[in-house]
Amino acid sequence: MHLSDPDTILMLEFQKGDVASFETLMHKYYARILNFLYRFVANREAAEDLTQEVFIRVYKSAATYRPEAQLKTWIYTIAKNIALNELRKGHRHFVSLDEVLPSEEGSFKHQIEDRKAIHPRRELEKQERARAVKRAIDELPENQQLAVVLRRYEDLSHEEIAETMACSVSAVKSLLTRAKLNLKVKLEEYLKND
Amino acid sequence: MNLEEFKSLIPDFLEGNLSSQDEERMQHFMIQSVEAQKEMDAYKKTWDMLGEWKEIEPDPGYISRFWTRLAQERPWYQKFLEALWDAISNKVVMPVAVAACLVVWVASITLKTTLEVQTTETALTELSGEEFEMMENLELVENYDVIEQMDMLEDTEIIDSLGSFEVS
Repeated sequence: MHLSDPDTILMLEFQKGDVASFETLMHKYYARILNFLYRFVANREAAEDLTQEVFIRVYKSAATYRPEAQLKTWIYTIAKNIALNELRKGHRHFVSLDEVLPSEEGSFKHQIEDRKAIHPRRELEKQERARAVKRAIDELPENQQLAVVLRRYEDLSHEEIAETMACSVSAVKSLLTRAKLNLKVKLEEYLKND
Repeated sequence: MNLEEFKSLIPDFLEGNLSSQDEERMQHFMIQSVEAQKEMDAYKKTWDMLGEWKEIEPDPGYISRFWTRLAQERPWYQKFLEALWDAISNKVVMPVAVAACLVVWVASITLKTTLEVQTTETALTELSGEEFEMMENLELVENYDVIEQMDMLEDTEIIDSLGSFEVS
């Protein structure tokens, strides 16, 4: 039971008909789920569309939610199923060389439009590294990819990942171990430049 | 411990999969070996590098888009039932709706009765004297066909014969 979890309380209030509680949950999780899905589809519009789909499923399945499961992992499980469906349908958007990925200092397009931009070359390098990261994650086996995204980007604990992926904590650790080894091999050439 | 063994244990070390004894062995080896430190550093940098793929922000208005999309996905009967349920479960609307239904029902019955009376009265005023008289003897008029077919004389003869039979 997770009755002390504020998210669970919000969900139980929504089950009683309080729509504002549902909106509070949406505010809390929308950006996280959007980014989680974005790591799989690598396309903003597709990620937005799938995020809406996740919350429609949450809304429709609210009556079946029981506080035995932590709400966060319940939502991530729905998002994971949608992400995997999308990957299996072959709707993965591979990163092209021209695609501008979000970076710390804004997009490269904005940089070159700005005459005051001092480090366009550095921004180019960042773009290239971000694309390399995306490619490296894309190339991981499906379950390693899930474990890495949930751990590195969503900051979930091993226990939470295990609950989301419906496997044991030791299996999660093993997945992350193999994923880290694979990522190091794939990104090695970029680390030499550091 | 040698460098190869150290390298093979790094991912498990970083995920906390090792026993405290193995962790101590690794830390001890790392102090002695620069290569081991570099290798450990490479793993940490790889993990950090994943952070260069930045997050995106949701488009504004995602909540209203959500409600619009949800409304579009519901079938019409569900929308109707929900509206009906809302009305029924509403403590203010329900008594008003019941009262309105009663008023409409009583009004319709009253209107129907009034119209019937008016029609009858109009029809009666349009009748001639003869028709009015027929109306007064409406039962006779309705049974006119039966009465017409009765042979009154024949019946009288039968009655008379019955009387003579009794006398004899």
